[in-house]
Amino acid sequence: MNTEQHLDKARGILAGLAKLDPVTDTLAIIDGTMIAGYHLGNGALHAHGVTGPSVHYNTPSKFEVPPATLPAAVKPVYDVFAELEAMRSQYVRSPNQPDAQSAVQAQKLLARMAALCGVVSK
Amino acid sequence: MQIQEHLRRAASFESSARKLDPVEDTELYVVYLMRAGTSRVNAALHALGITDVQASAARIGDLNHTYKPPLGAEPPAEVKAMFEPLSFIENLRPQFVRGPSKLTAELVQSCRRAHEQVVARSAAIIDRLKAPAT
Repeated sequence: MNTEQHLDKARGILAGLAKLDPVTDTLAIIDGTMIAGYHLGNGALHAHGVTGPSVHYNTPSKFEVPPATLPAAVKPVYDVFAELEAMRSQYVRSPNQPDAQSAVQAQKLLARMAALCGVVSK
Repeated sequence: MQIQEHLRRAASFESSARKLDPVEDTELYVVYLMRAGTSRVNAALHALGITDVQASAARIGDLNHTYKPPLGAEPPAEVKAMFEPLSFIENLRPQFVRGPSKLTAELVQSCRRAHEQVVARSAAIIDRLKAPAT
């Protein structure tokens, strides 16, 4: 997948997440932001020549590129993606109970990541 | 995670999936059915005593996927019967979640059928094990 394909996927996922309610779809929103983050993160890596279109990292914790060496335009994207991954670990893959505010926080992080990548929802 | 919490989370992901268009929202739809199925399988594995509600040095806790962490021993047939349809959903991810494709109407039906099988097969285990002995 190339940069534009990733960003197009991200736009679609943002639109899907907008159908959900932070109060009743808390877990789904937190989990879904990671899926959009995957496409934004890999799109940013491709756009700035860190990886080619055939190399993808599922999560920030699986990045094989040291974060400190990322281009200045990619590092903030990586940092937000890492925050989304931390939220998934904290709530989706553990018994911790997220509240609506947690889902709103994930939405805000994703919005920041999308803005950094120049993406708006479809 | 306790059995009831797994079942509550499964229901939550299933409810969220129902709010989506399975084709237009392919990526989220596939992941939510996978999460729901994984939660139901985890509940059944705890009921069977194959995994623990909390991981320890000696025992596996919750699975993130049918293959992760590996169970270590050959699972019984009823566990394989839950894993098979859940694997079908998991295996959609490279092409439809991380890849460029959208589900077709036919694949949506296959996905729903697979999830229904996970629900029915896990529920059969949980219901059997919570039923009083006769």
